[in-house]
Amino acid sequence: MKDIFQSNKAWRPPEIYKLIASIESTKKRNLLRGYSAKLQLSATDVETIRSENTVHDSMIAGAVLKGRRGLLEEADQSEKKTCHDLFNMTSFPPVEWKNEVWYTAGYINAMHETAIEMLLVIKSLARLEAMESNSALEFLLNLSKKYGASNYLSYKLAYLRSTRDLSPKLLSIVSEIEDEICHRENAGLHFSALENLSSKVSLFMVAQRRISGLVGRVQGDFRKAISLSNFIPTPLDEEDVAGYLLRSTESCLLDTVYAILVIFNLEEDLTTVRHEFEMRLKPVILEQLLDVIHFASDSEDGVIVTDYYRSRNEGGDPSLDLYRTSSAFLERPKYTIYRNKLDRVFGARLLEEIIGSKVCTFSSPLDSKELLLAPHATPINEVSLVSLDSFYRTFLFLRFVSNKSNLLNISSNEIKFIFENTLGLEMLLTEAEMRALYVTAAPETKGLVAVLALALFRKKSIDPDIDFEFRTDFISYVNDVHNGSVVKFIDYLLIDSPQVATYIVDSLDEVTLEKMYTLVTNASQASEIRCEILRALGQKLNRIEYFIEADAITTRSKVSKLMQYFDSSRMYVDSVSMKKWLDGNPTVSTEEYRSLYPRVEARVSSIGNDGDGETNLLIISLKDKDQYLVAQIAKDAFEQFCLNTEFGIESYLGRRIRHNTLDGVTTDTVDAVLRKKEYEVVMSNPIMRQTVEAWLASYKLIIDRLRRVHLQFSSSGSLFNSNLDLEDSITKENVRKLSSTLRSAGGCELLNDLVIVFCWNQIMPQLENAARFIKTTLLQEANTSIDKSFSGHYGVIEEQIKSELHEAANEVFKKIADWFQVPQTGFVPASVRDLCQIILIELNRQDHVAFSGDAVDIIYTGISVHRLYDCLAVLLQNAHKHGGDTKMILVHACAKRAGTESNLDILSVDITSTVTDDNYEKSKERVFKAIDSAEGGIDMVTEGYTGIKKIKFITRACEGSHTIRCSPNDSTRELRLGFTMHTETESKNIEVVSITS
Amino acid sequence: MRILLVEDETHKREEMKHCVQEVFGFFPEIVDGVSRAVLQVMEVDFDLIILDMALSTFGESADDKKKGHDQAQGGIEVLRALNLVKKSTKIIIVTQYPDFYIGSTKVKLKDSPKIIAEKYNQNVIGAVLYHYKSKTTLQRIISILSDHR
Repeated sequence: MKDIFQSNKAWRPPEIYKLIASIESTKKRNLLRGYSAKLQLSATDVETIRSENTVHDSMIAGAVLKGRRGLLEEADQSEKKTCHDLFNMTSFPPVEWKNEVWYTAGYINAMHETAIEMLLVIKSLARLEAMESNSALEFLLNLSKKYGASNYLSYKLAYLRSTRDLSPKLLSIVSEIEDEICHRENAGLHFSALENLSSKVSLFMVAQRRISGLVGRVQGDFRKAISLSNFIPTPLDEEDVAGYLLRSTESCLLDTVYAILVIFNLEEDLTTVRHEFEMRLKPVILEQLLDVIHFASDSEDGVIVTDYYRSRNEGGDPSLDLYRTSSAFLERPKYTIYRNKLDRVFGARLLEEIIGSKVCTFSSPLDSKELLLAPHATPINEVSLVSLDSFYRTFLFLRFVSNKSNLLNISSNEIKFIFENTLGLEMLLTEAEMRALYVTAAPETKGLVAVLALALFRKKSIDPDIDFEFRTDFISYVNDVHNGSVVKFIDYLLIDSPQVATYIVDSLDEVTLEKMYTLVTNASQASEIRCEILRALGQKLNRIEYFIEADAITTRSKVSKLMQYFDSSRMYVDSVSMKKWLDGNPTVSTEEYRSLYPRVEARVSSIGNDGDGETNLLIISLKDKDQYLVAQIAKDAFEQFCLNTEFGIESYLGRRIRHNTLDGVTTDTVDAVLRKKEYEVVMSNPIMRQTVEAWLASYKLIIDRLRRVHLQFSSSGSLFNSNLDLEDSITKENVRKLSSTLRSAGGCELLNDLVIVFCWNQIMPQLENAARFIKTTLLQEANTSIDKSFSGHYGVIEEQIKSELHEAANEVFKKIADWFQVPQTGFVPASVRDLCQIILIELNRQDHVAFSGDAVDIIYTGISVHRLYDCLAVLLQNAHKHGGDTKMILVHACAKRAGTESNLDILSVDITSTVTDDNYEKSKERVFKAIDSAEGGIDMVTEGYTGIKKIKFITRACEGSHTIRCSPNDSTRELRLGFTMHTETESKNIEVVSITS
Repeated sequence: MRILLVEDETHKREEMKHCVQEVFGFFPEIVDGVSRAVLQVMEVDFDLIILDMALSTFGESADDKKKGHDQAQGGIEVLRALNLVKKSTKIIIVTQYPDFYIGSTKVKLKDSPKIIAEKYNQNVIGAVLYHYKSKTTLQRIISILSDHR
């Protein structure tokens, strides 16, 4: 009976109707009366309500839509907002800024009691840096329990997580807060705050990533998406106030109150906006608002950048640290002003792709060359304590270049100094500014300036013509000044401008070097030059990573000798490139996982000593979190695995399609049938020829559909999907296995290696499905088209052609399907014996080597093979050099599984050589000295990244601490040197291609 | 008359080679990678260049047997090189894609001659969509070659 009387009209409380009745515009009043009956308003409805209102009506609109039981509010307002509710795009556009102020004021006034509570909350947390972690987190927990999610809360929490070394107990409060705001339902909201605050994550890199994902969706309004808006947490100008306020009102009341505070704090630049608010807000709110500002102004002395924060990014710029952390303290006027001043330069430029050419208009130009070129650490007259560092000098330089005539007064040494002492110019300068820099250089300095400016330009621009221009100028400069030697040029830069050299080296990857056509004659030379400049840079900057990259190039080329065993027509993803990419581009999830891991371990190890019954719950909570982060990491990585233009499957498919392999395979086989001599007579018949042509056309359509639809990731009929469905049971199982393998790996060192293995396991069903689809559905279509086209008018001969075409089609689709059956991971699987044999060929010593142990012939894969190669090469070289020529070298390899569900082996290799009598003691002493020597990155560079130290470095990098060992036998003069490492075995899902057979 | 064929696929190269022979009575000079193509066009004045778009940097004939990285728009590099040395040559583009990228803009093959003329100052006398073992494609190429004999 009840249902009969149910209406699909919305019920509204009388105060809403009273508000509507008070609207002055009859048209708008009637419109709102109509809309108030709707259960849910559309974005267009809201846009209509908000547009073209008087002050009064705008304020009423704010109250009617957003106030208590307003038309845009959930019916049950006792329900707290979650991350999922907040992490949405705004669905309607902002109105003109004054209207937006009125609308916001109407909303706040309608909620004045709660708004005042919110202001008290903000006041309580205004000196967050001075609060004890425990009480601060408890406060945030209570806040989350009472009001749910907000961007404000997220920033305060992110601040604590980024600036303090939280104990496991405190981390469990963090987990509780995350649960309260349903963080895991939509991680984007809190991750956005973490990305902006965490000193471990590159702000520039994150901005680039977010922009590329959202640029197409925000239609030129960066305030639409919270993760973009957060890059600029203060309004850029009056016009931006509109979007800024809408972003906050569409978030929640706490964020709206906070946004008004920010505007009040920027009273110098936003005087009229503040004045407008002062006129519209209820006095009681205004009074409280001013009280919070007054209180917050008195709190300026606290240090918001902690030692822990700095320690997570040693060598980082203090002005950048302050820039990032200040985003969590915008209730405090000095930080708001500092942040806003820099936002107008950095924030705007980071989002240039969306904001467009007006990015240079938000800040005033700087004409003082003296200040720009002032020495490092010069104190700056800022609102907060700041001294000149690279980040702040970048801020000055970006304002300096916005007046183009300033560039005329810069000499080449000054440009070198600026490039040496600024950062991120490739992202921050606009294309027009780069062009100006290039064009304006004085003739005598043009060569170098052109190379520097174009090096920046090509990093920013996607235009390959710019890349060509860079290479042309580069070649000409290197020919004129450095005798055609790229290495000499880099050496020259390294004398006094190592950072500039780094810029250039970043640009000179192997691909670019290969394209220096007049300087580089083949691919091997490009690799050699790359190795040489990397080593020179590593030596000069004391940076081990350059040596590692150089060695990786050499190792790759040596291990790739095994590649000849592969059938080159199979699926291929360059996992080595992917590993490099993942190492260089950590996501917030990766960083979170790395920081969480030791704590989980610490907690697990302390469980035995803790009689507290609550510990189990804590462990479960942390493990649960670990799995959720692993899922996020896997999701991000899988997208790259599929779509990355450098190494992804999509680029591979593109290459295959472009390079005719698909056409060749599909056409050759059927052509062979149709060209057979025995069919020449029947083919000479015009009707038969027509039949054949008609069939060929339909056959080509099938192939074309395969090429254009099924093998493209972006198409709706694609056989591939780059989005990880975390609800899918196979995916869940793969993520679980990844988590469990990570735990068995005993550290985070193998994280990216194992993520790549995960990606391969994850893509397998898609590959199998593709193979199945091609072998069945497409083949069936091709067979049906044969049957339809050849009706049998020409008797036996035609039947014979038909039958052969069926066979040919079968062969074609089976061959294509085969591409998707046995993936090549880009890693070369190899055993200890295989690797030793390659090294022994290099050493020209293939005799007198004996192998033993249960792991000699186990096939390993992944980057483990490269590590294994490097370590074996050192030990074999050592044994070869110090052992006698005719003495036997013994290679012993044994392994055990790292865990029941793990695909990792713990492999131990020992290589024994017999040293000559007169060299034995010396050799033994040298080996022990090398093992006992200090392990520092710089030491590795200065004393050489070779020999035993190299093994120490490699095993430390993958195992957490080095595993090299030596056991001498003085009576037989034998030196037994060995190491242990986690090595990845071939996954059961991926067919093993044995190279020993 | 000097003709250069820039093509890295064996069968396509054979077909093009025979088209040139049929029209001119001699085989063209051949390179199979971007690097050699760029160096050749900068050094030698060709009367006509038949150009593929997707090429590897060094091709299979590289002295170290390594093809180098693939360049999806490798043919455009050759056009850039010609422009750089201020040469304007007759070009026939033979590609398998109805559209490709010039600079950072996607253009239709049929519109490419105009854009290439504006951007790289080259005279594209034909832009042919290549189909594998297609008589029509070969006839089209022969016809363009004959028109410019």
